[in-house]
Amino acid sequence: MEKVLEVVDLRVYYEIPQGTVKAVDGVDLEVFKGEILGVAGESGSGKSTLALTIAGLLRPPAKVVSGKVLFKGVDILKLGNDELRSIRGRRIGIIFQDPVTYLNPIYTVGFQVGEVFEAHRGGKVGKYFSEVINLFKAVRIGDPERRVYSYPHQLSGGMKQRVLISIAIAEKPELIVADEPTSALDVTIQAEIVELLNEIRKELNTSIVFITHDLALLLEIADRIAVMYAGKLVEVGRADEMYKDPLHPYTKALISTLRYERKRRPTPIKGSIPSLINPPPGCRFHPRCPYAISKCSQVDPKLSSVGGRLVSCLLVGGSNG
Amino acid sequence: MEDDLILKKASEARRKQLASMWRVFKSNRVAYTSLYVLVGILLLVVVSFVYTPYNPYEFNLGRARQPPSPQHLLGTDELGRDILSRLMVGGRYTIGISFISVLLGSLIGSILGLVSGFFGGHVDTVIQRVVDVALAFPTTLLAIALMVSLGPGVLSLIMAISISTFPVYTRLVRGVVLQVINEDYIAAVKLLGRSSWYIIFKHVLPNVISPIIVQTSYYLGFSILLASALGFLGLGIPPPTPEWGSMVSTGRVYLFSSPHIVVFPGLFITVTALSFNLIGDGLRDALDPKSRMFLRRF
Repeated sequence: MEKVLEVVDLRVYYEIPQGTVKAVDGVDLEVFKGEILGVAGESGSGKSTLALTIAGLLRPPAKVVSGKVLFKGVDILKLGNDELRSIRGRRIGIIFQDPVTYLNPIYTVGFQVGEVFEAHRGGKVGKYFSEVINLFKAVRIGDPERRVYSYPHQLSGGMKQRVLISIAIAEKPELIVADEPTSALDVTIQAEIVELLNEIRKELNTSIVFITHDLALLLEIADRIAVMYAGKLVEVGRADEMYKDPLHPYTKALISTLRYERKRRPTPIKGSIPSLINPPPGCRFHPRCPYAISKCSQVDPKLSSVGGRLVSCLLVGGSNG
Repeated sequence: MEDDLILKKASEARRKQLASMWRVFKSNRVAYTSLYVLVGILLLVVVSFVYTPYNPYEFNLGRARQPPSPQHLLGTDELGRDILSRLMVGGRYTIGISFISVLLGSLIGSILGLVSGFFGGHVDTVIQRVVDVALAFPTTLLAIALMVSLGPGVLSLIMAISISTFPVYTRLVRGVVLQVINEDYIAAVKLLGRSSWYIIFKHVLPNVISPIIVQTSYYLGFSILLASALGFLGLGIPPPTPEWGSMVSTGRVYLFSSPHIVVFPGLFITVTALSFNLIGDGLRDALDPKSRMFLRRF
């Protein structure tokens, strides 16, 4: 299978007065053509930083300390602004969490989508209106001929997110980075947006990196899931396999919270995510891990292959040491 | 073909938007009435270019200080000149000067505010310190001081008023700009690789324009008062030009014997300034998209 994106040993730190926040600390990840890769993690696990890095949107105080982000073999971390611009927004589409703030309230949505074409291809915005209408049809905006003249405040949250998705797919990108695209929406709208992304994936054969804290959602939509904890990946594998048989204790705990059928309250994971300035030594999950042994606080497990999946735990597979 | 149709539709949407603004404005009775009053006064002033009942400069001491009568609708002044004619011609100066100087002040002030807010850093510091100095003086006092140093005349009046009004615009615009540039949609446009000027004029300015318009409407009223005050103090345009403020000034000697000499120019000043202010209130509501939505729903 063709690799669209490869993240190699990525480390992104934030330098703040209190110290260095190791938001992403050695992440290796691959995205294949046409797949939906879900990245799951708690708040503060570094998943959004990962998304921003892939999208080429990191801004100070974030700093890439080491690693590569290879998009079709090109390291986008090494590109200058102009080269980056030819990839970002064109070959890598981006969808953000809050659709409200990304639309200028004083222009019609049609104008704002047309403006993206204008910036990419030149000419006048008016020239692209028929294309904008087609895009709106593609993202299932009802009555697109009228909707292009709507102002953002006249649209619902779901509609606005559709408009932003239409911007993301305007240039038929090979990769879409969706950073919590449904978190600001109602559950019903959320299902529609997820369905839409799935359709787009099939139509354009594009890959999607879907970042969310909602593991249940990922289990439905994603082909593969990468679970992040405190800046590191703890488990990467196919969604169905991970649901049936989670290997890492953290994934196990997460998935057990999803199983409601036993008619008992979900078991919470004790404690909270550790400080990313001073992460615990060894395995970062060991202070909260029910299976932890003494070695866990000394050895930092590496991501290693166990039965077609990647897991970083000393107790699984036994290949760490 | 299709593009023509699309452009037509776009202009249609624009028209609809303006129509809904107009509806909100109309729903504010006071502002709507003020608009009519102001248009009436402006008409009088415009008509003065082609017709005045009498020559506003011609003395006729035999008819001096006559109260309002069918021959002289607003009476005559101490030199027998027709007050209505003088008010019509005087409006050119009073209203014209306030218009030009407020436009100038708002233009300079807004551009400085946009630049100051958008670029920040040293540019911002320098502009804001200049504004601090200008704001440190009371507006009227600053205008008086400027008039004294520039000497009387139309040009110096315009300069004095615009210099005393621009700092408020700079502050106002800078404040809104600082809010707008932190919005994600500005960041998104920046990512498209657009130039700073494109972003300032296409995305920031339109967001700032309605406070500017409202402020301008208030300031038009204020600058009429300011221009009249300067005229009253003898710092405006030298006589015999019938500037409204100087008309009040020369007539005040006869306040008790022939009050109409003072009352009518005073009334014109008050009504014009008040109309601008009340229209400003109406504009503020009309330009606020939230109040438009409110109207549509009910």
